[in-house]
Amino acid sequence: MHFIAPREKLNTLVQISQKAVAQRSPMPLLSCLHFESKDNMLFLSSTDLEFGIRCTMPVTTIISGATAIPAKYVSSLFTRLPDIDINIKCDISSNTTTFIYGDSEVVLNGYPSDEFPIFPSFPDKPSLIIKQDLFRNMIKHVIFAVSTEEHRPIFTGVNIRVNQNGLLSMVATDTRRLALCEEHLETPPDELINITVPGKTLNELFKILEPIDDSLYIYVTENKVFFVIDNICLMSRLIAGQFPDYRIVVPENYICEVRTSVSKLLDAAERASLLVNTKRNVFNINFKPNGMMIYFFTETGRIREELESNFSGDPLDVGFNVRFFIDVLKSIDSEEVIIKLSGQDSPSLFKPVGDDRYFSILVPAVSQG
Amino acid sequence: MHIIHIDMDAFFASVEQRDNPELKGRPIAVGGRPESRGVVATASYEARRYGVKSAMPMATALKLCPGLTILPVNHHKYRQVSEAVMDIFRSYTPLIEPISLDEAFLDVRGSEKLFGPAKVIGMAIQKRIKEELQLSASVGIGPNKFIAKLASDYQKPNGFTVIPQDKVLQFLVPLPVNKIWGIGEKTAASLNRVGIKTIGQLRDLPLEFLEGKFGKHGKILYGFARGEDTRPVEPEREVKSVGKEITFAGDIGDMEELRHTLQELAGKVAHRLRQENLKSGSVMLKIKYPDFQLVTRTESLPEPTNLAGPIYRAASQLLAKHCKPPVRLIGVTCGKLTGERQITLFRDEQLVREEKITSALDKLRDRYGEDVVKLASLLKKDRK
Repeated sequence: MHFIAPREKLNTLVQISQKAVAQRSPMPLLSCLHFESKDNMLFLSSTDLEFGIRCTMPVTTIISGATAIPAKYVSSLFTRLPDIDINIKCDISSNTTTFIYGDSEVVLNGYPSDEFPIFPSFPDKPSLIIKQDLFRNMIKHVIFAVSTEEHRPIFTGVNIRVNQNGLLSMVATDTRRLALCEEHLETPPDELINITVPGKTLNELFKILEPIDDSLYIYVTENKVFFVIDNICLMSRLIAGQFPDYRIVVPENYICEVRTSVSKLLDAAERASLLVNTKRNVFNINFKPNGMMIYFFTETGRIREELESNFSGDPLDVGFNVRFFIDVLKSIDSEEVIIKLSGQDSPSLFKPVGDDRYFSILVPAVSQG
Repeated sequence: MHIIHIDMDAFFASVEQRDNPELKGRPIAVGGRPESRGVVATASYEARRYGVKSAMPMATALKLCPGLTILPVNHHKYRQVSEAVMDIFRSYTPLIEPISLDEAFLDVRGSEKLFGPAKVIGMAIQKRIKEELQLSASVGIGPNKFIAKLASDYQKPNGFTVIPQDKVLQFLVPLPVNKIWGIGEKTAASLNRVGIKTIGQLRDLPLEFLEGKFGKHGKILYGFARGEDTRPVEPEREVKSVGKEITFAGDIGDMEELRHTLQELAGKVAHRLRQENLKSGSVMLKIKYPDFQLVTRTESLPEPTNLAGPIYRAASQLLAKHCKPPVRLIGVTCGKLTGERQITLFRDEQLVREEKITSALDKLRDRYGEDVVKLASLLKKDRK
C-alpha cells in the first residue's frame, strides 16, 4: 500500500475513525486502525465487532493495498505531524508503515491486514433519510436516560421507531427515568422501524452529527444498523429483545401540576447537589399553592430553596434523586417546565412549555427521613 | 462504678498547639474569622484566662484578648486525632458512646477482669493519650453517666476524679443545679426563682412537685438529684457496612464449597440489611489465604439491594475472578449503605420474585427461628 494525502483532512478522519477501536480486547488487531487504499480512495476503519466506523476520502493511490496499525500511535502521530502532504507507504513483508513528511519520516510497526474483520456492507436502500440536526436534537433529548447497567441489556439502548403514521420516536429509560422524543416525518415512511440501538453508538453518532440540515441515511438490517453521513459510516449491532411500551408507565391522573422556570429550578437543584453523598441522594420538593420548596440535609449541611411557580391541584411532598432530577431538567430547552405529579411513589411528568415533541418521566424516591 | 467519661482538654486548640510548637503557651482560638462574624470553637487555656470562651463571637474574644492567635477549624485533622483517641478507648472496651469528637463515655464493667478496676483503666487511658498523642484529657469515673460526666468536669485540665457510689450524694450537694444534664438557663432560672440553687436543695423537693412543674422531665431531675441515672452507654449505632466472615477449621480448596459458604454468608448479610432497613450499593469479597495474605475485592451493584441473590451473585463473580484456593477465611461485606428507596419502572421480574420469596421467608424465620428454612444447596453441608 502506498498513497499520498494532505495531513489536515487525513487527521480529521483518523480521529473520527478510531472511535470504535476496542478498548480492552484480547485481540491486538482490534486495537488497530485499518488502512486500505485503492482507486485513489482511502478507507479507514475500526471496530470492536459490535460497533464500527468507516471513513472514506480521496487520496492519490500509488500502490493499492491494506494494513492495520495500532490506533493509539497513529492518532497521536497525526495530531503532531506538520500540515503538508504525507506520503504513506506500507512494507507488507515486515508489516511496517512509513509516514514521510518532507525530508523526515516515522515508521510504525503494524499487523497484517487480512485478519482484520471485514466492514459489513449495508443494504442498497436506506430505511430512513432524515436531516442531521433533527436527529441530533432527538438524541440529545433522550440519551441521558439510557441505562449503563449491563444486567438488563435492553435498557442500555434507545428504542427508535417509525410507525405507519410517519411518526419517528426515540425512547430511553434506565427504569428510574424515561425520556421520549417524537418528530413527524415530512414524507411517509417506506418501511416501519422498531430497533433498539446501543446508547454508546448514539453518543458517538451525536458527536459526529452536525447541527446542519444535510441528510443522514439510516440502513437497518436484521441485527445491525448503519448511519451514513457523506464519507462517514457508523455500524452498530442492535440490542435484541422487546423494548417495553412506555405508554403503560405514563400516569393517567395527576394530583397536582406546577409551571416554573427551568433555569431557576436547575440552579436550586445544583446547589442542593453540593450536599449529596453516598448515603443521601434524595431531596424532597414540597409542591404547594404559593410556590415550591426544595429541602434537603446530609452530614455536610442543609438547604432550603423557595421557588415561585404556578400551581394547581392538591399540595404534595415528593422525593427525587438529585442527580436524576438535574439530568431531566438539563434535557429541557424551553424556559419553563410543567411538572405533573401523580403521587409520592408514582411517576411524575416533566414537559417543556411550548414544545410537544418531547417529555420525561421521573420516578420519585423515598429519602430515609 | 464502671462508667468512665473522658473529655479532651481544649481539644481543637491543643491539637493545633501540639502540631505547631510556636503556639505553645500562647493564647489561641480555633474558629471563624471575626470579619465574617465567626465564633470561637475552642480556646486554649491561655486564652481562657482572658475570659475567652467557646461559642463567643470571635470579635468579642479579640477585644478580651488582643494578642489572640486565630486559627481556622481543621475538621479533617481533628477527626483523625479523634479516631486515634477512640482507638485507644477501643483497646479497653467495645462499649463506647462518643458524644462528639472530643468526649466519650466508656462502660468498662466487662473489662475490669482483664485490665483491672475502672480507676486503673482510666489512668492507663489518660497516660496513653498523653504519651501516644501528646494531648491531655480529663477523666471522670462514677457509677453512671451523669456522675462520670460531672467527675470529669470537676477538675480541668488533666483532671482525674473518681466518685464512688457512697460519695455521690456528698459530691452532689454543693453543686449548682445547672450542672445537671438537661438543665439549661431557663430551667435553672425557674428553679432559682423558687429558691433552689444547689443540687442538695433540689433533692429536698418532692417528686410530685417536680413532675407538676416539669412534666416528664421532672422525674428525670428527681433521679439526677439523687445521683441516679439509668441510661446505658450506647455504642454508636450508625452502620457503615455489614459483613460476615468465616475462618475455616481446615483450609478449603474446593470452589464449590467456597461458593456455598458465600451463599450462606450473603444470606446472613442480606437479612441483617433488611433488619436495619438498609440497602447496599457495593459488595466486598474478603479472602485470607493459608499464609495469612489478605485480599479484598469490591464490586458496585447496579442498584442498591438487600436481597441475598444479587449480593451472592456479585460475591461469587469476584470469587471466580480473584480467588486462588486453598483459602483460610472467606467473608462478604456490604458497603455504600443507604436507607433511601428509589421506585422503578418496568421492574425486573426476577427481582420482584426474589423480593416476594425473601419477605415470605423472613416472616417464617421471625416466627420459627433462623434455621426453619434454608436453600437446598446448603443442606448438603450440614450432613457432612
